[in-house]
Amino acid sequence: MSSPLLEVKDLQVTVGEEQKVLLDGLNLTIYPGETHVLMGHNGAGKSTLMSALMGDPRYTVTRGQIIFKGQDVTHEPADVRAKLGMFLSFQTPEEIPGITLENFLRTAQNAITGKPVKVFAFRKELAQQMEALGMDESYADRYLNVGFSGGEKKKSEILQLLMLKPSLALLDETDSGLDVDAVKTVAQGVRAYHNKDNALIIITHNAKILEGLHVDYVHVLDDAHIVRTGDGSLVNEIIEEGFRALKEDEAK
Amino acid sequence: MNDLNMNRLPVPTWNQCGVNSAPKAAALPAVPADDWGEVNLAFTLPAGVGEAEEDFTTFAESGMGAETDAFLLGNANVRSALTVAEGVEVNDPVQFEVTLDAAHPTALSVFSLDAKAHSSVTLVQVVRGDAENGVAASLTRIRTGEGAHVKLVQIQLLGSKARRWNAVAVEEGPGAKVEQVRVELGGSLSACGTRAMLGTPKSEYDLDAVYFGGEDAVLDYNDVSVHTAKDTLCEMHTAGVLTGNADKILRGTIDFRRGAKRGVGHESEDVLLFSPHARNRTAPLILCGEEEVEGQHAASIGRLDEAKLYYLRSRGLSEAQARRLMVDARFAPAIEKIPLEALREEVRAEAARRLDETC
Repeated sequence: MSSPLLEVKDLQVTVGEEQKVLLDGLNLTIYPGETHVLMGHNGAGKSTLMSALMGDPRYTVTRGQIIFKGQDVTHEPADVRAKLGMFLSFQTPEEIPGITLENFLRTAQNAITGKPVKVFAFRKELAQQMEALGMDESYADRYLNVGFSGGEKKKSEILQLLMLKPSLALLDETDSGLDVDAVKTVAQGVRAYHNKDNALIIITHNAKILEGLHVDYVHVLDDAHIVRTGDGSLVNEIIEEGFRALKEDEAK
Repeated sequence: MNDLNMNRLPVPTWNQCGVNSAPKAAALPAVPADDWGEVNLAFTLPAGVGEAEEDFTTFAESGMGAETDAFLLGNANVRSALTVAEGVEVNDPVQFEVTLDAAHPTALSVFSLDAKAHSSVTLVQVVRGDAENGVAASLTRIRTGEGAHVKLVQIQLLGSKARRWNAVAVEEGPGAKVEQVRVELGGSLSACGTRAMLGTPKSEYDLDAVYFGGEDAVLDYNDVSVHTAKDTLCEMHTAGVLTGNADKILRGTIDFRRGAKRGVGHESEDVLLFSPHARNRTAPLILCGEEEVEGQHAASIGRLDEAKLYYLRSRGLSEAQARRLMVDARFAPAIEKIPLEALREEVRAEAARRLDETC
């Protein structure tokens, strides 16, 4: 078996001066090629985990470790993690006026690879990926996420995923707020990205975005830690019966 | 306390706002007992540009005001009056470059350009170097004939000790267009003021200005577009970055006077603050003495907030790269209009260097 891509060991995460504990004693190991799904009711800590993995400065890791590609990144800033191959598709992507989507992607690609971007090849790939995602090419010249609809923002995140080719993609409710067709397009993008060398952690409340993906593990978060881990069938079980039924099962 | 008769807001507002005119720190330099000394000047005059037989005898005042204009006209140690004949299109830019150093700490320049009907020309002025109590002051006067097109590109790359005054006055003929690009990156003082007289139909004035204020710099700007004829247009857009204890005032006035029917004017300013001690004041003013005009102003002042910074960093950009990207984005519209590639790159690099040094 290959080495783990990500190891989360006994992670405790707090927020604010009062150090409110949002995650506690969380363990997770992910290998290349795997797809993990995080589920849980609102406020269970799913997005906090994604943010903590990516190095969001609002959160503090007060115990435990995040090992990515064998390197301890627990206290590294987001750019170091991104350069190592981590990517977060934001639930609410920021609007950045003054920077076009194309320029931003080129700058990000250059920052991550440390190599100058070959403009012609970059543009060709960008056009192809945008077409695949059903994005009008004019979006490349628009300021990053400024005036984009909710759906276009999510597509812009997937476009970044496809262009930056990270080893680990964290998708934080990338399917939320999308119409049926847009979810299909985004799911297509996620499938196009995924291969045996990279891994996915997906937060979702429905199964649409998972269509065509083999889900290896489903983790249910509750009360700041993972309360249950199962295979892909757990997704439908939860969607059909809800988290309460799951808790009742556990109580029995 | 604002008591100078310089960069005066055309219609004063509450005095306590302190924006009615330039602060004392912008006071013109004292006239030396002997003379202003030699100027370190380099220039290029391309084919098609001639020296005028005589300078303008009368001219509308600049944005800095008649007193500043008179001071510069009376004290200039560099003078150049140029003309472009009717119908001549000059392909290469006219270039003037002043460098301040210990041996040449002052440069007071008066430039005049008379662009005859249907001519076109680009004038690039660069001010660089540094000197203790250095002075780089200039008055540029541009008159355009019917349908003429003049591009004025002003690049200021001074160090932190020198002071800068930059007065511009524009008079346009029918259907003429003057584009001004103003890049102010240094100096302990950067005081600039342009006044464009759009007194003939379909004349147009465009300004793309950027500034960078660091340390204890004082920045004071006053740009005025006066519309007195039909179908005139102005686009005045400024972007800036303030760090350290920099203190900046920008006054932007679109003055639609009687006769300016269907006049259109847009002005905006976008300021990025990188220090809690930097001070920004923006005073947009639209005066309407005519009906059927369109005037718009917009101002945005903000910090590079944590959420945006985190978003950019999550895509692999270091904090410095993220900051630079935000500044590049704001400066790009002006920098992209610099006609010389080497100068364009130098300005980009200088902006990045100054940002990295001060943030």
